[in-house]
Amino acid sequence: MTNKYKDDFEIIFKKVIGVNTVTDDMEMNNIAEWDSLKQVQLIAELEEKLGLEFDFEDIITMTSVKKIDSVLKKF
Amino acid sequence: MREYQKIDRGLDFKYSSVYSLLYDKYLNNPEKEFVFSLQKSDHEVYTYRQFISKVIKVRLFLEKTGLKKGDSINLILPNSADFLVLYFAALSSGIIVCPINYSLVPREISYIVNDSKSKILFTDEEYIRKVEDILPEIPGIRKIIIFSRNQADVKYFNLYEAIDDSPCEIIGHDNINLDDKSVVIYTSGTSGNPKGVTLTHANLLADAQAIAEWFSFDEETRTLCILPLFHNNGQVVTFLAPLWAGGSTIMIKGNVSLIAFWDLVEKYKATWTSVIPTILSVLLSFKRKRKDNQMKGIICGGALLPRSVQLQFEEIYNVPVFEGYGLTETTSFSCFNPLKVNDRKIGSIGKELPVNEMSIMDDEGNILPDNSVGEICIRGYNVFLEYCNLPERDKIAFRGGWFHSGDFGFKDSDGFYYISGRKDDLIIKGGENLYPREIENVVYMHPAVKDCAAIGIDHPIWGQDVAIFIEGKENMVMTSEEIRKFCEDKIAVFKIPSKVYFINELSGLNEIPKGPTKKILRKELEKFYKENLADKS
Repeated sequence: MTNKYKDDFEIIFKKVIGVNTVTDDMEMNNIAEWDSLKQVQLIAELEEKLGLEFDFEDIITMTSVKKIDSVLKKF
Repeated sequence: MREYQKIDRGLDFKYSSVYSLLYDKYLNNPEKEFVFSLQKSDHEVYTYRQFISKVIKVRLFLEKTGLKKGDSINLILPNSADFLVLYFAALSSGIIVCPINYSLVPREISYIVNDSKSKILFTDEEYIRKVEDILPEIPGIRKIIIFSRNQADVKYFNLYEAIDDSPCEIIGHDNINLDDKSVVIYTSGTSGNPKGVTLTHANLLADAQAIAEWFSFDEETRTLCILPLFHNNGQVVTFLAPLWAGGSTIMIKGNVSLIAFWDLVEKYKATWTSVIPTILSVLLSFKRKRKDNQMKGIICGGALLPRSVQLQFEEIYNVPVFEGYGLTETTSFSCFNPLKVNDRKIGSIGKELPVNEMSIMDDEGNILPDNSVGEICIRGYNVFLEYCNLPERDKIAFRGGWFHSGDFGFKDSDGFYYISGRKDDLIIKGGENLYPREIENVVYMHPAVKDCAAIGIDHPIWGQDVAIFIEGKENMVMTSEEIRKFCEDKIAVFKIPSKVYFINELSGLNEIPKGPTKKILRKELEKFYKENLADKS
């Protein structure tokens, strides 16, 4: 992950999803804890804490750490 | 039709099969937009003509594979046009469609594949790994076929190769009767294994018609399908019912964030959707504004809708919510609140649909008078045919010519029904049915566990969640994290207990409470949880 929000993202991601580490290969499909409810909480928390508002076209792609990274790079 | 599938007020079936419904709507308006299928940030649109052309091509392909009327196939696919094309292609050939919840772990999937006696399994690149993990355990599957947009993937046959955009002759006839089996949907079972609910073409047509007419769906109706198509709610309420009216539908993949809900409604001009109460709670939990002005209503079922959630949702978003009730065994819904907003009774599950009858019965099968609590029983054209391979279970479920739902409730003097509770130990988490036995069976396998009991506990968003109480073996220690980790490859994530309590760490509980026949007394555990643990969790 290389976007400018990297550090804040990792703190939020660990807290919301409930994991100890964040790696680029993490996806909703391969992380048991990352369910649809936590996905909603994650997006809501990122918007609130980072002061961003994502387009819905972006929101529906944000299902992996890599994809979230590419969305955050837009800001 | 069987005794429990008929009622005195007859139903004039306009179609003899689900495919003939599609064909008729195609003839009525071939160039009308029918399916919007959201693919990542883009979408595909199919007119009735384009959709049925693909159905015909896949149907011809299925027949070439040697599949015959009465054979079954499994689908492990997300919501998409691909799912629906395959669904209709199979149904038009008399092939039985058995979709599987892609959130299940391989062990659970293999049980359903084997129980359904399916011959071909269809999946996509996202879920093929789960299937590969169980190949040795599913010997009845003679072919795996995938939907892959990646042409380089040659390991399995890619169904996209059988579908192109060239014109084809659109065939109107099929060889299907109303009583033929159409779909088998698996739902949680009391014994720990899921049970397959077999539906007929008549079931799907009757329920689709009843829902479309109840809510006055028409050609302008456009539903947003956010519930998964592997459950009946997604298939019937947001797909077959609008099809019945000649409308259209928007297919959304399950893990698309609900944060985009109102954006999707606005962008695709959805007029109706169907949800579970959890979704309304989630939508209320963040402050996105409603942007559209065409949404007419939201259908809600699958679990009890808290009165506070409904009232708050309607106040904030100014869209009526119509609570109803049904089960997989009644194809989808069997009762709804009336479409006229002021005629609804908040807190009620509504009145029976014209295609079925409902009654409240005591344990002896006597119909009880109004306002008396008993078991909700249903019969009619939307009541399922049978459980898959479970004739003894059928006898219990259909005693006295009625389907016994296992839910307790009552009817008021205006004909509105209300739910009071469950007859058995069913836990409903976010619309998914779970029985404690299937969770306990897995936790028992842990070497340090001597005894355990799972219960449903209240959850503000999911409705219910799972807690498990464990008695450990002597001199063996374990942590709650170990127990949860142990469950991960054995049951789907949504079934893993969120709370794990060890009896030896609890004051006021020395062992798992059991009755004289060693049956777990879950009500006592629930009471203990509420009095001692709920506030601390």
